[in-house]
Amino acid sequence: MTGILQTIGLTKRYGATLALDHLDLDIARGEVYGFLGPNGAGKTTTIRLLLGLHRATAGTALIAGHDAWSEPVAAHRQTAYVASEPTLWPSLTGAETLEYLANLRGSCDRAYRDQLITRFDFDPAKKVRALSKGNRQKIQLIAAFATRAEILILDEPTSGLDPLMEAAFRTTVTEARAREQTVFLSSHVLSEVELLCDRIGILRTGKLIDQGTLAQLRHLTARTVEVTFADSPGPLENLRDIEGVEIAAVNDRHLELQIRGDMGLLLQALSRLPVKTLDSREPSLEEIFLVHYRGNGAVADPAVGAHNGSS
Amino acid sequence: MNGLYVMVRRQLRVNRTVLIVMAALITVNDIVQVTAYQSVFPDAATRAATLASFTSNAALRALYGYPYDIGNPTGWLSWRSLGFFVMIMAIWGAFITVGALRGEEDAGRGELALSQPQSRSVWFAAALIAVTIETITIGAVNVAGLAAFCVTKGLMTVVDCLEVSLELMLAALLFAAVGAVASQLIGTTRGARIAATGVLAVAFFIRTAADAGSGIGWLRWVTPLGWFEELHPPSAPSPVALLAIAGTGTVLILMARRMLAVRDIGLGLLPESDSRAPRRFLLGAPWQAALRGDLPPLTMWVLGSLFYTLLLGSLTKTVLDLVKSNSAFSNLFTRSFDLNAFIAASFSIVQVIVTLLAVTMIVGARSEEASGRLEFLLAQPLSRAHWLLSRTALAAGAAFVLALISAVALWVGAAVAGQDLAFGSLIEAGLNCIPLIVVTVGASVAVLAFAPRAVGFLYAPVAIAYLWDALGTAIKAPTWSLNLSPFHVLAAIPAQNFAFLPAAILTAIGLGLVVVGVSAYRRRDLVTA
Repeated sequence: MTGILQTIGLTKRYGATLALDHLDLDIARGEVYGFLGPNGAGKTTTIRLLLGLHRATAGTALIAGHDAWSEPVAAHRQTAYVASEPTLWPSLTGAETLEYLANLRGSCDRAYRDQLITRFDFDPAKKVRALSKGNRQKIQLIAAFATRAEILILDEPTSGLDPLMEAAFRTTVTEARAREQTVFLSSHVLSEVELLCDRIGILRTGKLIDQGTLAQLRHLTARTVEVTFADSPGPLENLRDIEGVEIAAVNDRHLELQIRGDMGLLLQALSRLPVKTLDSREPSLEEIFLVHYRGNGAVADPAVGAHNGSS
Repeated sequence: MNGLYVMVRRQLRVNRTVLIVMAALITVNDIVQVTAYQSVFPDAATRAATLASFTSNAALRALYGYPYDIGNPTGWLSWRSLGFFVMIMAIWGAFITVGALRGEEDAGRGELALSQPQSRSVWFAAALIAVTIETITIGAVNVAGLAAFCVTKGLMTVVDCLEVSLELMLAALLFAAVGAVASQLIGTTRGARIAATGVLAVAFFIRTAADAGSGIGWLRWVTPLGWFEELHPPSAPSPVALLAIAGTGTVLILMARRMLAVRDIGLGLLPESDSRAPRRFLLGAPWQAALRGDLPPLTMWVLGSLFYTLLLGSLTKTVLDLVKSNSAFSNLFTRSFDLNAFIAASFSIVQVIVTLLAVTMIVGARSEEASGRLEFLLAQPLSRAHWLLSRTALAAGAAFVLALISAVALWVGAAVAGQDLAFGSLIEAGLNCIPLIVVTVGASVAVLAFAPRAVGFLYAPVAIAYLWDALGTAIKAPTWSLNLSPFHVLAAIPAQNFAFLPAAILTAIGLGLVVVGVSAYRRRDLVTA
């Protein structure tokens, strides 16, 4: 099946800088896709290309079947966008800004907009000039979700929002998903991505280095095993020799290991030691993220590491 | 001290384009005025006889100020041109000072600068030092230009040049102080600039009344523009006027500094409401929103042009009476001086104003892109071509409406003064602005497409083209070189008949540039500041 949001070999160069390198994305209708990456990885470049604001050096981006560059208007009829920096018109009030944006689009679910204004606890009578960053961000969110557009492209949409408003945002995304809207969510808030996204792509220095459901990403990343001992366990050489095991931290009676693959050999070796408690947990998204970001060479090759996920 | 140095340098960098334009504009204008005067009045005998009548004319005094020593090139320059350029310098000084103070706060950079180990007074001083350095630069360029072209020909002395420049510099500095106070009182850049412009407008009206009326010359001492007039080179500057300027400037700066010390950064001292019921007019399309945002400055453009053209219109009768009584006077403005020539000459100023407005409107479109708002706008179902064409049409439309308003105002002014003008010929003069507007807008759109960051420089070619028309004509430059100026090739309506060919060529070039610009704009990445 062809996704509603697709990029094929999408590449962007700014002079000598390769900002985006052959990005292939295929996002299905109704999917919530998390797009992660450190600062300068190329997330905003990707969004600019998806919106046809910058022109791809190579490759194409398709939004609901429309070429992002050559048919921007048709593409944008299906799209709503929230920018990471809420640069709005300072002399307009919130209500006037929402009105202007609704006029530009030509349609708006006004009842839902009013509901969102209440949900985000937003005062539309205030001039944009007098609003904090978080409050200006609310205008963008309300305007975008009230369009009921098929595709929502959100660039760090919760930057500047307080935790209560982040919760309101999550509720709103969940509603959008229930309506089969597609959400492209570029974010630094890993808990938000972990909670909301069906699939996650990780970008580093312009390349998609991994992609998949959270479960698939976890599969590639080491589990953490924490062991406490009743007595000093003595030398741990035989643990180190097990394939896929790395000792992350050790002190007297406490040991932290990272393990990839099967746990059988590790459990056998541990059974010969005075183990008091054993705790094993899956990596959090944060750990996955950090493993991918450290750039220590332990990163999966994009061609090998990328999963096809749920699409 | 390093912080001060860094901040001053930053301000100088921010304003360098406008500084170059201002220095060039003023210097070329001054050279043109003196050179033209010399070619029209080669000997002192004709001057005295011709120019004596100026002093007795109230309307001329209202427009240009009191003619003190117009038998002398420096005195002529000071009367004919300084009155106007003192106001330009005043606006410039106020605007860049507001930009450096309130503008930085508006952009949030004020907070950033003041969160560094920098005191408010150092930050404040940096803005004023930058303005002072820029003002001195303009003054120095002007002195150098006049020295090179006028002192060498024996038309002026070096002291004359210094005095002329001093008057201009003092105007910028005094209104920089006004801008500094406005920046403390008012919480937005635009608001502070409008307030400073308002102060200048009031000063101008008082000066006009003082110069036009009889027996109320003392009123000149009430207005800063009167103090500048009292300097009137080539006579030695009046110490009382110098004292008034320096004293007022100092008091204003101390006031501003005191206000800055006690107020909240980011807010003005005058309370302003942050909330209001929605006003839904002009929100239907980007050009409407742009027009809505530009309504306050557009109002200023219209009021300024109205005032100027009404005044010029009301002058027609008196000027014609003067000409009838003294034929040598006619040489001042054009070869064959009559009613139509006077109207055409007056309307050439309207042409410049209209052209500058067109550039300003495209600069506004560029600032939408530079601020990043255009990215957000174009993420809506709106094509770039549509956006740019609608902004282009808005620029051309606003400029054209201003041309027509000015034409009508000129007619009304003349009618009030009892001079019958052919209404149709003025409308024709207004329509004759169209090729100029189209070529200006076309060139601006092309620059926006190919070199977006250079759009702000566009004021310079407009000023140069206009001044070249004046200077080139005065020094009898070759026709081909004069024809490089769009102002020159168009017919001077109503003195000449409408010239179809140049109008058609200019319009075609302008439309071609719009097409090239829009299609290039569709292909490039958006560029933020």
